[in-house]
Amino acid sequence: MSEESINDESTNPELLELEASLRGLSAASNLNRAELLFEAGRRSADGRSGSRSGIWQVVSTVLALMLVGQSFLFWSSDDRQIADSDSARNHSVTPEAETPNSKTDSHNGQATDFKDVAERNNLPTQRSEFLELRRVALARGVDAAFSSRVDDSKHSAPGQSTQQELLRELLGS
Amino acid sequence: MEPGRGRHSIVNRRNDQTPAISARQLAELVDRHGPALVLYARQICTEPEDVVQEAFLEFMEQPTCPESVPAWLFRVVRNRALDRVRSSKRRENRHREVAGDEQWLTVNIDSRLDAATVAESLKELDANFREIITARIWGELSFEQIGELVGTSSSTAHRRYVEGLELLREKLGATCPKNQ
Repeated sequence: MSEESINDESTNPELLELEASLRGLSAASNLNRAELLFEAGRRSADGRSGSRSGIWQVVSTVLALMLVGQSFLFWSSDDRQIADSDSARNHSVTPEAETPNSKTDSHNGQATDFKDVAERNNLPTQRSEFLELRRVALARGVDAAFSSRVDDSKHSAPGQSTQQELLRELLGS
Repeated sequence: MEPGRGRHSIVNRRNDQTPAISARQLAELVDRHGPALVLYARQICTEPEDVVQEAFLEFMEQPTCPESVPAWLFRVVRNRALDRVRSSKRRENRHREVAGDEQWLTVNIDSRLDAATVAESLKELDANFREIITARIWGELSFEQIGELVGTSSSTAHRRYVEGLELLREKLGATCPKNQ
């Protein structure tokens, strides 16, 4: 039913007159216009600032998570480095226990070990020979050290007397 | 979801965009439709000003302007007013509670009716008649819009309107001194 036909149906003059009279009255309202507009403005401002604060919340959360992740990675890698260095140090200190076919010296296993360690750590071998000689001398006496040197190099050394003198001087005897 | 039901429009509004209307347009809408909406809400619940204010605020938060602003506002007001009645469990007392002491109508200069008398006669009508008469005369809605508003056909809305007017005329004819 269209609006025209409805109006045609309601052509009762008394009703039309009443309708016109009623339209002459205004609806009373206690609506607080100022409060309504203020509230509308407040909500609008909250909506805009809310979207901005939402972005900042997301950004700050992501940054915080990245910071936590980086810290975790940093500390875990640091621990691993320490563990690696510790194991490397232990390995370098006691290599002989892991090497059954280590070199053996004719006189003293300790001296051979020392030589191995010296060679492995690029220590001066000349110095290690000297220390080896010193250790033998301290353990068995100067003569034994000298004799071992002789045994080691069967065909004599030209500076043998000099070595003996130096050894005596070193040992203070 | 119907406008005025739940928080659909508020949740889905686009915060990053400006509202569909400006503050000046909202003020004009309040001035133009506010009193009729309050009168209409008064037929349903006891807090008409609050309901109408909520409806205007919801309208402001809409991303797009409805096709018919008055029809949309009346629909939101009706839904919110009914929600209030339901939530306060006072629907059974609806007819008694609308008969408050608030002023419903004011007299224009050219009016031949007494506002208080019309208001008293309106209060005596059934809520369905009051609702349709209010929406038609002071809300200036079409019968099609009224039919959609109250959930009936436009012809049913028109029939109830005519019936309500006749009842109102009878009451006014018996009580209104200006018509006698």
